[in-house]
Amino acid sequence: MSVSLRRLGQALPYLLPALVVFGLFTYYPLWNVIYMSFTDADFLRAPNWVGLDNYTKMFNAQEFWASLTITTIFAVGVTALEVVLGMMLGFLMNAKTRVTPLLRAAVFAPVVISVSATAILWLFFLNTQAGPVNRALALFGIPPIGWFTDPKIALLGVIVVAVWKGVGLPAVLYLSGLQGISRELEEAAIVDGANRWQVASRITIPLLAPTTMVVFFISLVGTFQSYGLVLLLTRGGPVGSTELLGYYIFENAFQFFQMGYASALSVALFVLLALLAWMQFKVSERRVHYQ
Amino acid sequence: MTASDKSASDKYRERHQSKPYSRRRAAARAAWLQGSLSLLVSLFFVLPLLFMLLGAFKQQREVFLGSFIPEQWVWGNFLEAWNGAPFGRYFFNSLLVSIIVTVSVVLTSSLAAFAFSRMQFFGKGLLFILALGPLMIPGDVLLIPNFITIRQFGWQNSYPALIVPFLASAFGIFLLRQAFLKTSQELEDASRIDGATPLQFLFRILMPVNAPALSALSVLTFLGIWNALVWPYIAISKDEFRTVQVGLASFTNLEGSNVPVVLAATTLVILPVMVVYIFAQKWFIDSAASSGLKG
Amino acid sequence: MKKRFAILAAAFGFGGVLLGAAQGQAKRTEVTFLYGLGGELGKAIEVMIKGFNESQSDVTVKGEFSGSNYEGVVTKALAGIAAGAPAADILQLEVSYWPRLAQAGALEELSKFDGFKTTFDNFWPVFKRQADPDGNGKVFAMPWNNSNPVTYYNPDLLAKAGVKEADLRTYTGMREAAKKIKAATGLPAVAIESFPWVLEGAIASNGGEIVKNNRLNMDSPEVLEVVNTWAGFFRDGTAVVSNANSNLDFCAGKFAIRFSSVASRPNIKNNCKFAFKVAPLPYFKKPSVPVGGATLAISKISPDKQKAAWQFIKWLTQPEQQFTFIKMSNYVPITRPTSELKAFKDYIASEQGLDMGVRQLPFARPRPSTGAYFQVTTEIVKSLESIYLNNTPVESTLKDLVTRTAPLFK
Repeated sequence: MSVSLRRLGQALPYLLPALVVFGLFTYYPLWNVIYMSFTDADFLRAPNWVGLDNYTKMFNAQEFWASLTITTIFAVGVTALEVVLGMMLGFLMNAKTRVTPLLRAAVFAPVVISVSATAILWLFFLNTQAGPVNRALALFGIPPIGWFTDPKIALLGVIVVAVWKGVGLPAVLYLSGLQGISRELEEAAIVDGANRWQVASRITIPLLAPTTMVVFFISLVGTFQSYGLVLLLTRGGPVGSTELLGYYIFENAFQFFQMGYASALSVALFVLLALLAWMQFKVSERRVHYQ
Repeated sequence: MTASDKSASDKYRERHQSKPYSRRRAAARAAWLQGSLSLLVSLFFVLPLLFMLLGAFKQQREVFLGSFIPEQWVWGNFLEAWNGAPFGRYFFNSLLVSIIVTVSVVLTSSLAAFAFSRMQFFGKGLLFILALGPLMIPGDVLLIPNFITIRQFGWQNSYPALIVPFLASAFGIFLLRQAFLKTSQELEDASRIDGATPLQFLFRILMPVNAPALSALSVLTFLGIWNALVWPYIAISKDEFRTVQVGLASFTNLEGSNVPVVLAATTLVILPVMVVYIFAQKWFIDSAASSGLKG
Repeated sequence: MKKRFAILAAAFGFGGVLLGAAQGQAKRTEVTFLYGLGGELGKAIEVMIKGFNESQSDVTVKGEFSGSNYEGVVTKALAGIAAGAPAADILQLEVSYWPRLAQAGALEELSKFDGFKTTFDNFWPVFKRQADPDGNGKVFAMPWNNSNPVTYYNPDLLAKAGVKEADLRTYTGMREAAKKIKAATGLPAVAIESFPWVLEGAIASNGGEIVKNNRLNMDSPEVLEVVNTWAGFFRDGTAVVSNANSNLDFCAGKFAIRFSSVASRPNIKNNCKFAFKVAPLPYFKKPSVPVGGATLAISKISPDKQKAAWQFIKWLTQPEQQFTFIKMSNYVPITRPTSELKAFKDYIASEQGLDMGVRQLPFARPRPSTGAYFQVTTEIVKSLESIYLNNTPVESTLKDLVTRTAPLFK
């Protein structure tokens, strides 16, 4: 014990810089948020202890459940598209044509662009009445599509932008995954008379499973807490159709001044994310087990 | 190579050579298909950027009218965008903050990852959970408490407000620990025999050996800080310390914006990163790919 | 010994006073001003700040853009309150946002300042009522950049349908005109906002009130009639919901009629190729328009800074400064002396419709001044969008809205 305690003394200098930063700017404020979730804090008056009121309000709020549903659709939709399209793009980027360098540059380019710039250019690009896309569609007699203004379509519009911005990283991860797979298995399968699709579905894609796992969870955990695009594209509308949980929190905290309630929502989101991380841990553990 | 492997690839070659003509035609057709598909997909990713660029050159009155190509190329939009806000200052601020944070994250993450991957000590499991915890805590939730902390330190409207909260990264620790764990133990033993201290080993051997992971971390950290919006927006209200992304917001207006100028400003903000990206594209992609995220 | 010490102290004290006086002459009091308008209007504000700083030598105002709109000012003001230090000395607060901050004790009461009464008495009555809704003489926010909504229309599209400006005078008349425009051009006739600003005016024009007796009054017959008529445009297929780009869509000829602030005029003018025209806002029974724009408030700061801030606010309300600002922004004059300036009268006669804002002032009404109204607004927007876009029945949707928002008024 004393030896390992002394070793702790040796290790601490290495850990302290990071732990001090986390302590000050993650754990101390987190503690504050948890405490505030039991109060009616609104910054304007001194906070009162209200017990579980904020949590009761949350579970009874139709908006909370609606935003949870929308968040799930958004997260699952974006994640599924990033896995499927990311993989397809990975295959395509692995080909050797004259266009491939262009493709690699184009797919990853949106990753380096900020969310605010992304929102500005897509608001312009997909503007309902007279944006370039709807004007082009009008040439084929298609009436204007309300990408961000039609309650039935707006969430899809936001998903399209999120995938455009985000799929570059999964695509590159798949590309490097593909480059790491030895060709011999595939060649052997072709010798045995398998066609391209069979090779892909029975050999290559299963071999990419570790990449898929990583892409799946990075994407899911990321999209569950993201709301930047919604803040700038739709402000949760129309008719609340894009009200993601993150935006619902932002709205309650910074527009309605209901810090207590917003803190309770934040704690719920935190629990949700921790649950996702725990699932990831379990799944990857099982995978290791079976290997 | 084992014998069976050899025979498999021999057979493969035989099959190829047995029907050379139709095989080659099929391959050509596949390549053509892949090529045109690639072109189409590239278009999808580039088109919004292209329209931003074209829109930035248009007259205000023809943004949503007339041809897609500007009737008149209004270079003045860029001038107006540049003069509309102290962009020089914004770029300097963004660059300064991003560089300091990136260097610091690489350092603090390397140190912590070194301890977690190479040392045994009391409470390691608990400390590791504490070090990775921030990954699961949505950062925006902490905005207000952090803002209060910054005020208490007297850091409102200053560089420390933009820098200090981000000096360490849980993701960085996770990433580098993965990488350090894969580095062979023999290297460490050898350097210890040569009389190197643990710090010397870390800086002279472990970090250089894991350069791809470090560069991946640098790229992702730099992009994250350069593109951050909400915190700089809350923490700063003076032009002297404002960053590029926040500066971009000042072009939109409640009573209607000058869209070509907004698009020109957006182009200006995107441009430096895109130029760097185009020149260092291979390095960017390799870094992101080798981020050790492959599981 | 004691005596000598006292003399010494007095000398020091005196010296301190002298030093202070000397510094007072050399040093200007610096106050910060957080505003919520970017783009061209933001530039207009900076021009006013520069003008003030050059006009005298006691005070320096430093402008800071919130980086977003009026909501951004509130967010920053709040963060400042939370952190125990005001975000800025002077805040530009939207006309319906200041009550919440005033109730929290974050704003200085203004009637105690030099020359308050003469300044305040010059305001148009509607702005006085907006700034002092209880009529108790306590004022926390001074009117400044104020507006009201007008009707912008595309004369070419109206001509195609044989519709005249007179047909747009009432909402019921406009509904018939809209059908004609749709039939003749195939385009939606009008863009309607789901944000309830213009709606407040329409309700008042029908003899109703959107907030009454500390509850949302949107289940009253007067409101139901208004919303039914507006929903009728959507049921007829003659309306679209307006959004941030609606000025551009209007100028691209995508619809014929747009209700918007008089302060949108510079932007619309820059964007439209055709000669758009301005008509009064339609009404139901009698003309009525809501007040819009923002007020200026002073945070809880030191007396020196308060005085400096007040000096700036007072300066801005003078007719000459008002006129300078109006020429850049097209806001309405907030004081009667401004609207009586010869230069102002010449200016508003120089273009069609420039006079509409001031012409509508006699029947302008304040916006609701309950602290809760801001949050209620987002609920109203949701319900109206649901009526307009999802075709939900008017009466039950509004009834649900009233129930849903009741706890917010507590």
